[in-house]
Amino acid sequence: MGRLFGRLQRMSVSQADISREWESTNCASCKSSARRRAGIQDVGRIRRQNVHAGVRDVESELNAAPPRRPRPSQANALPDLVPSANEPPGAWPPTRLTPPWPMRSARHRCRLRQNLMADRAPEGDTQETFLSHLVELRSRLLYSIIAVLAVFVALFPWSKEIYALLAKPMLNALPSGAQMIAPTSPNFSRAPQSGR
Amino acid sequence: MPLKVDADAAFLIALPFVLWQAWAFVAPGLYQNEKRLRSR
Repeated sequence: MGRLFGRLQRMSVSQADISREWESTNCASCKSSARRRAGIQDVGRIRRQNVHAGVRDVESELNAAPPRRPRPSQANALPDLVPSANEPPGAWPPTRLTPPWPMRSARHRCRLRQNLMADRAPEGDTQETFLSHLVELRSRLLYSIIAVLAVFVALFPWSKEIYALLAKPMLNALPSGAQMIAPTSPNFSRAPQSGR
Repeated sequence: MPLKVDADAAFLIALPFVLWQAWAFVAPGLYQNEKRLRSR
């Protein structure tokens, strides 16, 4: 929970900060940009989906002092920096972040970073269009209205009873001989109908 | 008059369903942290 709050606090950076940070992930050593790999077009959406908070984490992680090169006996036991295949996709932060030994090339670093960011990136291709949201809203509204109408029709035979139930306290409070003015069924007034 | 009461009662009874529909429309768009808040 504290981790979440820390991330939320870190989110309060300016738009320029975000775009600079995001652009900086475009690596000179390989031609493809991380942004393109991640399938993200506009920076505003990145901000909305809190990606950049994680970007900073990755940067600091990559720039941190490299760990000791492991002894050969430990080499296989150490986790890989790239999230492994058996890790559920979309799990962030990935549990396996520690590189086994110093990253050797800028290209390698870039690929790792891109992998991480692509993992963290919002599902760009599965984003629905504006129109599909409208269609969904329409269907939801339709279902709601149909439900209300169905209950209305179902309650229709008992509408007078419901009304009587609600009107009963007032009828009890009325002085005998008085009559409700609202159009009701004739058996609503307590007093005998006089002269009608 | 009873019809009005009937309509009101119908809306009240259908209200859970209506609210659920509204939630189902909104919920997929929640941010990750909001989803975390929801699941707790």
